[in-house]
Amino acid sequence: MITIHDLHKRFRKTEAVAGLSLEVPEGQVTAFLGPNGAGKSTTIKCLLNLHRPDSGTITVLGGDSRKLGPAQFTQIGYVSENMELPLWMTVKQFLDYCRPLYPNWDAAFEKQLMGQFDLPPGTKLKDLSRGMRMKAALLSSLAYRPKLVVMDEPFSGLDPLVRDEFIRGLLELTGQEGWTVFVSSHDIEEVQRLADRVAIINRGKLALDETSDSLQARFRAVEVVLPDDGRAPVSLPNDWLHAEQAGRTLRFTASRFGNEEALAAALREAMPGAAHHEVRAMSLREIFVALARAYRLEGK
Amino acid sequence: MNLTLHHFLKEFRYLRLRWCVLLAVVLLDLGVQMEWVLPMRAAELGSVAGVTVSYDTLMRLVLWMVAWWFMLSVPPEESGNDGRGYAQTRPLSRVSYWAGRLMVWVLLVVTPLMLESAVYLWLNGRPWDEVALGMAERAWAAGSMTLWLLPLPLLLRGWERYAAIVLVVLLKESWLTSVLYVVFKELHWVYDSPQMAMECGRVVKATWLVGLLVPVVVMWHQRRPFGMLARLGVVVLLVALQHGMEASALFRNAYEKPSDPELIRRLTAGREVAIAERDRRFEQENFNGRKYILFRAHALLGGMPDEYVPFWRATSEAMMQKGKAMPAPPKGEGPRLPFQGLAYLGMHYPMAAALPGEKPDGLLSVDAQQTAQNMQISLPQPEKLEEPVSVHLGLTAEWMRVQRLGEVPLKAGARFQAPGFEIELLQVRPNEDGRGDKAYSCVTVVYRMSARCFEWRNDLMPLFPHPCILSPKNRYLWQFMVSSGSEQVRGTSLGWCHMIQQQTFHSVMTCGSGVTPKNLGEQRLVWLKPEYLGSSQHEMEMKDLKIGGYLLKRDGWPWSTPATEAGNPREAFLRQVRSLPRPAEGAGRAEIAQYVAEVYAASAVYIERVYLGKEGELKWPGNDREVCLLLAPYFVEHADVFRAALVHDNASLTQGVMHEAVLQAGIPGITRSEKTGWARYEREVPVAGKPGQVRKRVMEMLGLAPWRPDDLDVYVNAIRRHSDEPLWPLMDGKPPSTDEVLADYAKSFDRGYLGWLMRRPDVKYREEAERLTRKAYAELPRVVHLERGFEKPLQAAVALGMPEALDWMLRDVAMREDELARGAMMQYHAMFAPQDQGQPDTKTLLKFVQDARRYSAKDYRYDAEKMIWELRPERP
Repeated sequence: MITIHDLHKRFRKTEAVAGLSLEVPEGQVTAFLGPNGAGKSTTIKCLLNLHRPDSGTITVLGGDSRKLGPAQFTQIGYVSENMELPLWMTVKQFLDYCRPLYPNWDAAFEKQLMGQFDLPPGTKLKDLSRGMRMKAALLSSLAYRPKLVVMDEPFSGLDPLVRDEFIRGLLELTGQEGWTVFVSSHDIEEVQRLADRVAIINRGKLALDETSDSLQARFRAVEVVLPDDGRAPVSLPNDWLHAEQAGRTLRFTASRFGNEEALAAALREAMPGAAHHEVRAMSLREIFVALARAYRLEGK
Repeated sequence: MNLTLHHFLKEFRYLRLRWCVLLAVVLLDLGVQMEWVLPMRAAELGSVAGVTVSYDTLMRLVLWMVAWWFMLSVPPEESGNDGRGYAQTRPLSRVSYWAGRLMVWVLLVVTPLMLESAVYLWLNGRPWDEVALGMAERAWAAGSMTLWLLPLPLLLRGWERYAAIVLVVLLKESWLTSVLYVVFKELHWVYDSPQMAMECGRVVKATWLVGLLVPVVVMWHQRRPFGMLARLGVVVLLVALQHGMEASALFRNAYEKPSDPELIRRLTAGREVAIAERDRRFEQENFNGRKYILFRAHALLGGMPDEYVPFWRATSEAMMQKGKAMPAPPKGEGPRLPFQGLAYLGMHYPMAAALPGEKPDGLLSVDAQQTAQNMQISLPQPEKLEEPVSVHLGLTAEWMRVQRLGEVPLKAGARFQAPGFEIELLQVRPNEDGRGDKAYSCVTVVYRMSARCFEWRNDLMPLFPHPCILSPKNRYLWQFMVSSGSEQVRGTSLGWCHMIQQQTFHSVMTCGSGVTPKNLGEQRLVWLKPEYLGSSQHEMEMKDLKIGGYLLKRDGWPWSTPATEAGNPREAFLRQVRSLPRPAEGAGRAEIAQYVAEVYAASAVYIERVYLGKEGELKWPGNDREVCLLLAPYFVEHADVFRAALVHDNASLTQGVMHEAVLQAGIPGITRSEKTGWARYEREVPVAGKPGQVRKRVMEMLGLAPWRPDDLDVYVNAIRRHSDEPLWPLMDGKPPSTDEVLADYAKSFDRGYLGWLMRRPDVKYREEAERLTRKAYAELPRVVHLERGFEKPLQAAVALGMPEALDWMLRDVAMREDELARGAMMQYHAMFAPQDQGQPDTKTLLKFVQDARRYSAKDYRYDAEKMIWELRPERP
């Protein structure tokens, strides 16, 4: 649905995207993650033809992103945290304006979403809360059943309850409609329930791209209890991230976890005197934080 | 189309409140222009208190500012180019978007303005073709003033838009204008005429063109987004570009385009341009330490019909001395555009000859400046001022023709109506000035005028029609008037303007004019308008020109104004001169020249000391001997300073200095005359070639004349040699040849020379003198009170027996009221008295003036023998 190849985009001295290549498969929810300033929004703006890439190609819905026009936008739903909505309109006026723009606007679906999102039709957008405003934006971007939904930090600034409602709604819809969703966030927790795949961008480059399942299978949090006078060895395997010792306890993240036996063997080899160890599965959030820290260290 | 309309309706929904504001301002403007609101009142014209507000200009400014604000009001979701734009990710094509925005501009901005013009013109009773033209002009102006703003919201966001408007206004009005004045000197004249600043053709056309660049800039910004400073910088650049373009030669206002260049080409072909000797003025100037000569002159294209009025400009110059080209002088600022000439015409150029339509023969302009047409150009200062130079000038004449728009009798309530011009005379106030105070001989008129003023048709711009008072019976024309009161104009940008104006004409009901409060209604108030026909280019060469002989100013000659305070001017003059620090021993030329200049300036200030009383006696007895003695030591060494001063010298100070210098030099035969106090010469000298024989040479009064500056060198030579021999040619040396006298006459038009020439037996000299006289007379501007030097050809024409010249002179004399005119009056009086009769006394001159008011040329007969005019004996 989206193919990005060797994308470069520079703003004066800052290289926002530096050779990014990424595939967003059809019918899946791809979470596009990265710390602030990693290049997520720039990538999205390039793929929606809001920014012109310096080099590289982006294919969206089978066509060049630079040629995206009205015909393509009838099949793309775009919601962004900092999108300027027509705040001077009421929700009804807003939808009245949007409706004629989309030939395949589904009035029944619009009505269903109105109910689902609990939007007050007579209220001006500027008088709505941020969450409600995002829902209105989402409604205006979904009611025509787009093939592709692109969301740029849609949950930013929403309180947890609203965010949960919003995500639940989105989950239901994506599940029902089989949409391709490309959603960016700087916090994996927001999208972990949604995401089929996770792509992480760091410093304008793709750092990781795999399914959520694979990611969760690959990462483990490990705690090792060392002997009384034990010290952690100076060098540990590269895939053991963020090793930290507190007293006799050494904690690290294993980023190429295969199975318990293999890990135990590796521990014995690295720390023969270790008393015992514990291995536990990690949430996507923990994995993301571990990776983000690793990227930061790489940068230094 | 559906989406276009859909988008337009969305914009309209957003803009409707703002549009109501715009509509309200348009309606207010219509109300003001129609005078439903703030009507023009004649009563307010005389008021000097309070702030004067031009509601016409003010409303236009307000209207455009509100229109700009409206155009910059874009729904926030459409603005910006940072990817936040909601509209940019909707399936609305660019065509539909821009078509919708264009509909906003056409329907919400241009249409109300066009309708305002239409309603205004219709309510003013204008024909339908003018209504249509008015709407078209308004659309054109509105397009220029607002269309460029259409894409601007995509470049600027939020407060930046209003900052941009403030920038535009500031830049157009303040420092950028000043900076660009230096680069584009023409710009000064673009704004120099009234009612031009905002919507004149240059501005509108340049803004259209620059406005087309805005979408290009916006597209660029969309590809490569600018930072905030760059965005505002682009606005500054665009304003600068627009400013430069409107001042450039690329664009012209309608009235700058010649209306009949072919006619001018045909009329001027083959004619020679000439500058009369008496019309040449050279002044030394200093610009940033660089000296140059400022040349002013009145050029003439012989034989052009009177109705075509030229405005001369010198466009290039080249000076050669001894085959060497002089370096170019600094370029001065002068009139560059043809219509600048239009501004001078009504007020200053003598219109009597150029007045079209029915007019009395021999019409004279009373209050015009005959030198108003003088052109000026900077020339290099030659290395030696006394040595001849040749000057090559490139000249351009802008030709105007005066149109007579309409006229009414000079009485309140009089009306005139023509298709494009209407007048109603509201008030005629004799002996009253613009403030309502008593003012002798003034006539103040208040009138309401309406006129067609389409910019494309060149109907009104750049000047409003100019009123003149025409006295058909007395054949005088008053054209210089003083406007007073606040500006009361409406509708100047709507194709049909109306205004109430108050003008005061001075010196109308004087003793000699024949116009009185009782017969004011018999006079006519005539409205004139100059039309620019076309230009002609000419070249001329002045050879063997000794600039030193013409110089009026040297080393910063101070300007002086006659003193008016009470007291003895002779004593005041002496006090002034005594207070001046004298140059130290061995002082340089510059210091001495400055001292001499200051003494002469003081002399000019206290010129009253040489005025004569009623019996022809000096009002303030005494002489300038003490001052002359102070200056005499410098006479020989700095003769060039005194030669320059000679032309400037009204009080004959130079002659006195020369006398004292000659007396001090111990030249044989020179003594002080007991009778006059001046130097005289008397001596028996040997006769050349006859040994032992002597003859007596006598010169009662050593003379100097401004037109014979070379005589000064003779006296300098005599002083240097302590010999009287150099003086002999001045006395009874070889008499000048007839050709030399004729050449002198061609310069001076001296009546004595004319009499001598007319008595020559060879008819060719008589004919040539007559031809020269008639030519110079024909070229004279038809004015009363000819300026100094210009009265000579008139006197010569009278002396030749030309009745029309006599008629002119009598009417000139009739209008004389001041003592300052005594010199000219005596010269005129000489036309009626034999030359040996001596100077007339004041009584005689007063009777002469009274006779001039009483009699006409028909009452006199010409005595060809004496070349004078005598009152016919049958006259009482």
